[in-house]
Amino acid sequence: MVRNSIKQMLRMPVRGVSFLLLIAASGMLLTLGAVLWITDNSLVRSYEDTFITIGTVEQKAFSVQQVTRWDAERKDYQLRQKAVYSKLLPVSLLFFEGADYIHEPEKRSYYGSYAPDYTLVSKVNNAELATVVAEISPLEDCIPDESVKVRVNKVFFGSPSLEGTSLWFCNHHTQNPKPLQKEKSYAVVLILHSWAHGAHYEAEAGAGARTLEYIPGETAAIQYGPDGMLMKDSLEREWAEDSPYYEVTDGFYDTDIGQRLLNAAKGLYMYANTQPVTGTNATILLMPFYNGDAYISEGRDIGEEEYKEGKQVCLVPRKFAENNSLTLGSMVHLRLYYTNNKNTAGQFFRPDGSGGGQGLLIDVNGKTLSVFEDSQYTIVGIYDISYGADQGSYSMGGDEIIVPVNSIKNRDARNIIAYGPMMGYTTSFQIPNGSIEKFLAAWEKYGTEELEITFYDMGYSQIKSGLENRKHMSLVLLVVGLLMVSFLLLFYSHLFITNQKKRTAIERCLGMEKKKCRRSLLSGMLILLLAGSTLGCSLGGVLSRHISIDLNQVYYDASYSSVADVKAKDAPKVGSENTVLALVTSLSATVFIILFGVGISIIKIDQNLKLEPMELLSEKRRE
Amino acid sequence: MEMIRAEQVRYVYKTKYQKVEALRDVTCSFETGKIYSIVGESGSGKSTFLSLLAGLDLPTAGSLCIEGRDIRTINRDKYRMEQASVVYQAFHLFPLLTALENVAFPMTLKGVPVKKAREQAKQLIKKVGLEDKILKQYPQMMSGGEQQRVAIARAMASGGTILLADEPTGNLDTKNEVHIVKLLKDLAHRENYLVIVVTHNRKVAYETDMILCMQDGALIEVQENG
Repeated sequence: MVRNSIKQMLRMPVRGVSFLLLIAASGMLLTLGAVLWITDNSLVRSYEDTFITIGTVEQKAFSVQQVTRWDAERKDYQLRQKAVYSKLLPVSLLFFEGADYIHEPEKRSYYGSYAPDYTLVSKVNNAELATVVAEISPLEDCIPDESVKVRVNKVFFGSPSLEGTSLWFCNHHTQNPKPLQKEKSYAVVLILHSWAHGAHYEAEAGAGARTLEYIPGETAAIQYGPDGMLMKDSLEREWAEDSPYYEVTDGFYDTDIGQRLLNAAKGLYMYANTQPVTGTNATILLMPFYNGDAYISEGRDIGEEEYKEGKQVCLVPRKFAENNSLTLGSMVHLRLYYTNNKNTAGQFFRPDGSGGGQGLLIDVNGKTLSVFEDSQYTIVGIYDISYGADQGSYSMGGDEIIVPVNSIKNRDARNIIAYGPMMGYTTSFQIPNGSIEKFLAAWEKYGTEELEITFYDMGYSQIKSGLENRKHMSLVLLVVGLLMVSFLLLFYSHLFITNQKKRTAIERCLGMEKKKCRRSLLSGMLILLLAGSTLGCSLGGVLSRHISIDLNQVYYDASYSSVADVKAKDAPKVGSENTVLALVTSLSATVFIILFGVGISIIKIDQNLKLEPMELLSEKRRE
Repeated sequence: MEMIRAEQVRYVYKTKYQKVEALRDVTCSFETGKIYSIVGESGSGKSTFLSLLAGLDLPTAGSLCIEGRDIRTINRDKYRMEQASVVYQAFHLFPLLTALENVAFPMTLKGVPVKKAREQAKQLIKKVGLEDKILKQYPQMMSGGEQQRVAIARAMASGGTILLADEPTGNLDTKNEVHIVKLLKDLAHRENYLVIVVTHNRKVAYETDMILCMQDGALIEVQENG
């Protein structure tokens, strides 16, 4: 019976072959569309997870002010430009209607942790030579309005080897400095400045010689209140003093200024043993981590909950971990004693150990800064820094430890040594991918022009738009495939079944049971369906796999070529998944077409079977 | 021997707008070894009656017994497969099967092996007076007379002894009409078939053993031919 049915089907070669080919073509389109659509959706989802959109915020200067400073070498005032801000704007301005954050805006501080027990990269630098607290005496009476030679009598902070040696000294930025007398000793903070200059120097060293000079450093403290206002130093008098070097007389070190200088030496000693610690609410808000310059190479990131709950966990740089034999799970002792709310650690602590000073690190009363947070942190991740990624403000500092900001209980208003406006490197937030335009529209309405927001989305916007286009194309393919399948099944079931109703009637008249009639009509069509859909869907699968891999590679390259290797491991995988997807989809599409075809066929066959055979076969209607 | 008996057979069918009484209290009987003709105007109920006789539908009322068993109680598919066959005015051969395959079809339906079915089909085709060359021809390649002979051979292939023919000569020329009528008569008289022919053709009707006249769904006259 089935044999007869197939025989009859094969004897309609044009119909049979056209059905086979067309159903194969539509199966191919259906599979192709489905695979691409699924792939694109999954890619969009992957990109949603992999891509991150962050915004950085910078307060624009209200104006630029020209300031003058005396230059002893040029014997003239030097003009410098200084940004002036109307007032320091608070982060709260970034919380407005329509602002949808994944990570809310934060203005980060970095903290100085006193870490004498650890080996730090900054210890190997020449910080001890760059700032010195010492007692000096001129080799002869002089006015240090150019480089003059002084002998170092005593070193309170700095390289002990300086003691007994001579160095060049100049009160470089004061037009009429206080004179120095040969038989007297002066306490001073010496700061390594620039090349020595002037008649004394040239007479001794010869023209063109190059030796560095020291200049006197300020003895006033720089300390801010929680409102960002500079606190009044108890020695305000000295703050304005042009020649901050003090004659050492009996009992000098019992005086306020004497004590202050000794405390400054202690503060500098602490600074030389300082490790920067940055508190944040999300690692990704730190630009080096965002752009891939820094990446967690061992362990894990600090979790959302840990950040939220302020768990005492931290990320440490590999070099610090190695220098101190620390591994994942080890405890790090942090003793925070100052807060810098203006800069990043990268500006003062370079990964190579170089760096700059940050003033005397004493409070406005001339006392050393006290530790305000003493805690043990567990290392959960170790990060590496890409070679050549040192970009100053936007870099990680040497030995910089990252902790949840909420874990620093006493973080507010304690020992703030620098306070500045929101800058791109200190202030950032994360928003959902693809929401930049929405954010900016709301910002346009509620924001202020004094803040400039810069967005970084790793190219997500372009990729998303490309993928959306691709999704639409694949959807068109899918719909066309579906429509074609539906149309073909309806059309050919009409040809193969409805048009064969007389055949069914003859079979019925010959005594064939209804179920056998169904089988008879179905078998031929089913074989063609099976062959056509298997062929088409397999072709579609193979084709879609290739197209998908090629296109994905394009997106992969576009997305990750500029991002550090660490991102690559998070990138959507191309290849093996596509093979499985193509296989599953082509199989599903085949099954769908067959079931759909069988369904339609059965309906049509049942319609045939409802007709009265004699009525169909008689030349006349009922008599 | 009485093969079929109809008692007060009524048949009502519904159209979209009305109920139509196609058969009204038809009572008659049919014996094997005889050829019957049912005549009447269009709409008299001839084909409907034939359809009931073929077991393709059931009477609305009355009884129709096949070998003493009410048609309602028997497997009508099996009845058509094994006992009753129908031939039509338009032949209704399977257009995509050859003459041989058409004739073998009822046998393969009953499960006869293909090879054996083809052998028997060959003999049946020969029996209805066709030559071997027809075996591999498709219906559209044959004349009307040849197609009707093949249709009769296919009816015989079921192995039953009831042959119902609906205007079997309606599409044939006179020469073929004579051949087909002779063939049907031979089946009844020599092979002991019960042959019932629905026809408009009085000439054909007069060739049969018994003429049943129908009018408006009722059997109005039964005439035995000498």
